[in-house]
Amino acid sequence: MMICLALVVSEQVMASGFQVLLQGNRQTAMGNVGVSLTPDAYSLFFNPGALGMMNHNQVSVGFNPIFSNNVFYNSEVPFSTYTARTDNPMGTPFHFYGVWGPEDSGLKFGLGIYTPYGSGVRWGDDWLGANQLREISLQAIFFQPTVSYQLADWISVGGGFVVAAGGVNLQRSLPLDGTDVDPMVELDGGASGFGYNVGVMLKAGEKWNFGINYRSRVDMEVEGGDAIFTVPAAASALFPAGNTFDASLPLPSNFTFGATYLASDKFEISAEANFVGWSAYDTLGFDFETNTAALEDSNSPRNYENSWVFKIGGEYKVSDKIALRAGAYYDQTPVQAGFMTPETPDSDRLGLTAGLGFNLSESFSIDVSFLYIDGKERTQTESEAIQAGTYNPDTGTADVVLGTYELNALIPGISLNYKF
Amino acid sequence: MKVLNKLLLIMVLAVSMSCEPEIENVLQPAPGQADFSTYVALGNSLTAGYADGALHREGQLVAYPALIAEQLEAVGGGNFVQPLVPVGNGINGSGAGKFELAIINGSPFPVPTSPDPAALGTPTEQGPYNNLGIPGAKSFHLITPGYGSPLGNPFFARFATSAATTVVGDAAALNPTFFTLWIGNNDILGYALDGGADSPGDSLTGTATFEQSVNAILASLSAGNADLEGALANIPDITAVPYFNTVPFNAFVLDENNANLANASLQQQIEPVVTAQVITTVASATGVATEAVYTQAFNEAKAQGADDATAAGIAQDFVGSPEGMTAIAALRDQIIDNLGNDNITDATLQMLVATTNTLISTPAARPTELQQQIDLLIANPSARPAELQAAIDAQIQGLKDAGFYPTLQVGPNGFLITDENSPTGIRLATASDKILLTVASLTTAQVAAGPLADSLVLTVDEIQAIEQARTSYNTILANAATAGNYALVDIDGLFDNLSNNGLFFNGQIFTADFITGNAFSLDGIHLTPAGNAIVANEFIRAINNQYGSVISPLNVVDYKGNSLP
Repeated sequence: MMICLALVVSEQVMASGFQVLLQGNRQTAMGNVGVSLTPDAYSLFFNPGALGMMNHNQVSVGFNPIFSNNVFYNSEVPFSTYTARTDNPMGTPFHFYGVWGPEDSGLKFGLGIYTPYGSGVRWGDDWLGANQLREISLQAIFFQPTVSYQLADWISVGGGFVVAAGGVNLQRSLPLDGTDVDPMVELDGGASGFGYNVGVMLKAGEKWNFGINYRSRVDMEVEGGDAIFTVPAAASALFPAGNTFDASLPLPSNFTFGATYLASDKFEISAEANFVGWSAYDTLGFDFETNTAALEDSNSPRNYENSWVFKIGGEYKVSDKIALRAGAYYDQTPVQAGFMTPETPDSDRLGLTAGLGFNLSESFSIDVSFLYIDGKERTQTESEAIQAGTYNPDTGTADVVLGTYELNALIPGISLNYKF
Repeated sequence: MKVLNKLLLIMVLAVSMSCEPEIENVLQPAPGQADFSTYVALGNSLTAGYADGALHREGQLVAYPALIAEQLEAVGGGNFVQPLVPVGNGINGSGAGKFELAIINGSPFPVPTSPDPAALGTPTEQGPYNNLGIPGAKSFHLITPGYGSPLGNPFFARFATSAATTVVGDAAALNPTFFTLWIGNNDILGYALDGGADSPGDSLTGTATFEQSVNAILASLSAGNADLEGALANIPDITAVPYFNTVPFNAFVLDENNANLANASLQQQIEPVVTAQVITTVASATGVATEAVYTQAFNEAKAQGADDATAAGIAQDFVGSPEGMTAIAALRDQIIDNLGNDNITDATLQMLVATTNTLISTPAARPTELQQQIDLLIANPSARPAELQAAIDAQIQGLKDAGFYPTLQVGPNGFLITDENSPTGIRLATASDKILLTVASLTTAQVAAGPLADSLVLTVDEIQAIEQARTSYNTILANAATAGNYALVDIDGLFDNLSNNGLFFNGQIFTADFITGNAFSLDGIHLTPAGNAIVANEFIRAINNQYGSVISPLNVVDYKGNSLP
């Protein structure tokens, strides 16, 4: 009756793919480059160092509904034709930026409110891996007060302090059967954390911008989250009511550097590389306030590895009114073989982006973007999981569901900007 | 705002066109070389979906053949009609309903529900029926005419097409293209459930009968269809199911008081009997030896010319002399030593032993004097010569040493069981014996009252007899599968793995443990829904391997184990 509650908060929601892409629809449309672009209010997130070079004030607000799909094929069971698909809730990340500075001072103040983690995975209660995961959702809102200063014509620096607030909800079936209940556990808790975001923007002549950005790791701490067990009366002693849990989830650091070439007034092209400090996520522990024979604290290996994202994007101004944008990026998965839990059916991803900018007036503009994420098909075998320690062939304890996974996502987005 | 509306429209369009990811090379179901259009399943209670100690509808709906039939739908399988009983508790052969778990003394334990007699009535579905699993059926029952008559098996009588028909006859009437057969469990299980007591109707089916039955079944099925395809399942080690492994051999736990009481009772039960046996034996042998020595002395005296009276006096004196007593004792011991010896070469000794045996076994044959002496020695210990008392004590000690006169300890003991090989008729159970699940329902007082009935224990000898029969059955089944080009389903190996290692499916663990193992239902013998899915998958695997088909296995986690209240 030992039920290992090795719970995992979703790589899916905090994967690089979803983590960094939706904080500005101009950047999203351009392959998510942003560290060295001609600055705008979105730079508050992408490179607060660039704000000092902005010669206007701006308020921007936008959102990106996420339509993501995961598919699973039971490929490791001989002759199986079983497949399952997620019915993921639509993620609705949004962003708000306000940037203002005294005229000609080289100084900018800003506040950003954005939701870099706002999606979820829902496999449902009747799929093969319901004991591992039925659904998970994670919300996090980052508040980032920021200041930036242009030290010289060619250099500007800036930084912000991040206060993160959010919550996690995770549901899985319990390997028990009840006459009149569907045994399951729901873990629901609020989380908070702190971090920072700093950057430098360099201008080399009229044609070249260079940017460097470092967003720190944010440890999201859940304290006293509710551990709600729905179990038959006969098992209630093993899963006491009113239990709580503590957990910690590291959101990785991001180090980004890139360059933008301003070919003309109409055309700029930008490329960057982003190093994600995923190795912070080596184990995931859940500490229950009340332990029983069937409910022990868990410590599951995750062993994520640091990964790279490579991005390229461009913008062409067709006229004063309209800008065309496009880009692509390649996002390495941090999830190693054997660690693909149903929360983390992650693989290397290709992102294809496009979008438009409309200047409706001198001060009012709209950015729209489309992002298509194509995850590579990826299979997790039994031997990989045994090697990784996520499946124990002697006890049957399994964090993972063996099989083949693939994901894609389509994410439109729109932002409204007001310059003053 | 017109622009915004257009943008929103574009976004909605884009999203609606977004395609779901597709995994390449997903296997597609395929029938291979088999024709699954008409599938019939033959077998016993396991095939019928009997579970939790009764035939009830919920169990039938997840019977392994029904689960196989669900998976066959994707590869050309047709309707699979079962002789379903009405919704309810169902019924078993003893007239009880299915077991349900209830909390008893803080732990879940199976309790019987009230039966539904309608379960023995006509099925709720119209026939003909594809599931011909008959609870209680042994191999030869499937070919026995009249098995579905009122005098036959009520579980077949409820849907047999006629009183005279056979199970296999009804199966063949469907013109099956595909069959599964899992028969033979009851051929050994009946014996095992009876604790190997071998009461009428529960003896092990002979190997020849089993072979003839299996071959006759297969011949009937394939008579109308030379291309018949199918699968034969072999017989698992039925003594590994929870019914035989839940009550530990040494779950006879006594406190000091009860241990003393039980030991006093054993002493009361054994020692007087042993004492009487030793006294009877020694007294009888002494009598016979005395008679023989007397006769010899008498005859020797006569040979030297004494008349009868003189010879009698000489002989009488001799048997009372130290020399004579020594001779009597020596002959007595020789007789006792040879009481069980069937190959005595010395004709005189042979006769003496025979006479002694008669005296021991037949009180009526004893001379009054001998009987009186025996009665006196039994009634009055102080009348016993030291030598006799020593013989009694030695006999008792020997029984104790051999384990036939157990001394119960405070704490766990082997159960007291009957054993025909024991001089006392009892012994303590050892780890090699299996105590049947029914003992779990006995009170301590009932258990302490005396040895467990033979029908509640499988002794190591009985287990060996079962195993021997099972091995022969499995050879016969394997040969039949080879001969007919049928799939052989290794349920034996599957259950071995289940009971030795456990089977794991997506975080769900199945073992042969009672209740918590979740593979066997609350009767400790039949399968849970998940257990049926595990068995169905083994069939499917064997069928795929035999016929090149792609039938997808079931997801075991979709099926319940034992439901807790």
